[in-house]
Amino acid sequence: MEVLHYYFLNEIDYKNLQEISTFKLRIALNIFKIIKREIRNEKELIKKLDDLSLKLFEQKISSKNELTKMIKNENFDTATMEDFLLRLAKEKLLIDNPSYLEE
Amino acid sequence: MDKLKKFTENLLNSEIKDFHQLSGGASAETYKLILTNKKKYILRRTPDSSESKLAISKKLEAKIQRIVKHNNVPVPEIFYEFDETSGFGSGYVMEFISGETIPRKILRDDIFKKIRTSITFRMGEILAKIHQSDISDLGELKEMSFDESLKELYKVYSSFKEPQPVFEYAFNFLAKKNLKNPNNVLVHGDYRLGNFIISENALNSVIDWELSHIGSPLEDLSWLCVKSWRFGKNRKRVAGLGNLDDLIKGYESNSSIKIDLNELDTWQIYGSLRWGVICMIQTFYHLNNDLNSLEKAAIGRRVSETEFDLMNMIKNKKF
Repeated sequence: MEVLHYYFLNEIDYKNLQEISTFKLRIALNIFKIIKREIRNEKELIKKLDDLSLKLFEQKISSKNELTKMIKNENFDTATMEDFLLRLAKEKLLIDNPSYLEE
Repeated sequence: MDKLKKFTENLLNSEIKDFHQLSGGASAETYKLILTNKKKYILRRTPDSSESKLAISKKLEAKIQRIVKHNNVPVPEIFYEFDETSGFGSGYVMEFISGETIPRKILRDDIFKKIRTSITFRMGEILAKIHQSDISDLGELKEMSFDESLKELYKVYSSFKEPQPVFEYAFNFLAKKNLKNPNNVLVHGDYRLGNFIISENALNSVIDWELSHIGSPLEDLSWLCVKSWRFGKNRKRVAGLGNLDDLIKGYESNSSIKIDLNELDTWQIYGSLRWGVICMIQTFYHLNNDLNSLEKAAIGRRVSETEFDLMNMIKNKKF
């Protein structure tokens, strides 16, 4: 992974590529960064969300299917659910695009 | 690409010196071509394999561009059209308009510094003209109210069988809204930075009409405010360029429609949700092997951005 990352960053001559190739390579590099963050942070993320669901809902929500079902059935306190979903969205962004949180 | 170039040469009855694909475009492919006599054109087409779940046909897209041009909306002139019988999908060749479309350049480069101060008002003015287009000849276009749009979007989202709790919550939240704005204008459907050709002095053209339909004027106005289209310039609600007040002033200077700001907020929440579902659509084209595409595979991760925006709007009233 590190070697590939180095290759993307340092060994491709972006200036001499066609515009479309540069565009696609930048996307590929972004995907690569996401995978790296996912591998590094996935377990920690799951634990954080488990702890938060225990604190807010007094139960561990084991899957997004279960959470979706609660929402569909309107089986929630609005403020609690909104707190949880905002936190969930933030944690997902820390993997998918952390810079979006800074903007 | 060589076959497509040859096909285009036959269509134009001219020799092409330079033919290359431009980046961007969710469902359509766009090519810039320069003839040996130096004339420049743009070819836009939908290859058979990538028909979008939301996009209208290229034939209808061309027809709309002709209609709005008649109403003095700045759009490229359509010169030639072709359909699936060509073997190259369906599409058209249109006028090449010079200028910049890349949002990050428009938002940051010095040459656009002056236009950035006035363009929000202009975007409002032009949008009012689009919304006043004669729709009597556009019977093929779908008419979509807020409720219908929401139901349609939910149907698309559900079809993936990949539940997203934030989306589910947003659908639930929006379904309880009761909007009263009329739904009887031509809606561009993707009126945002990226679909404008801008030069240092003017907004030269509005492009990408593939999501057009009949609906509420608030849909276009609010879409321009969706945070994903601010490209990092988040303090300026309208496309990262200006404030809502300027957009509304520009719009109302050219229209008798009065804008309800609460309804606009609701439409903006819908807009973020819609963009999130479009990201899912693009990803599932790739996942279902309909089309193997790097761009489409990657865009799925932008769902998280829309989830964050949705909860900020719903919970924190941050637009």
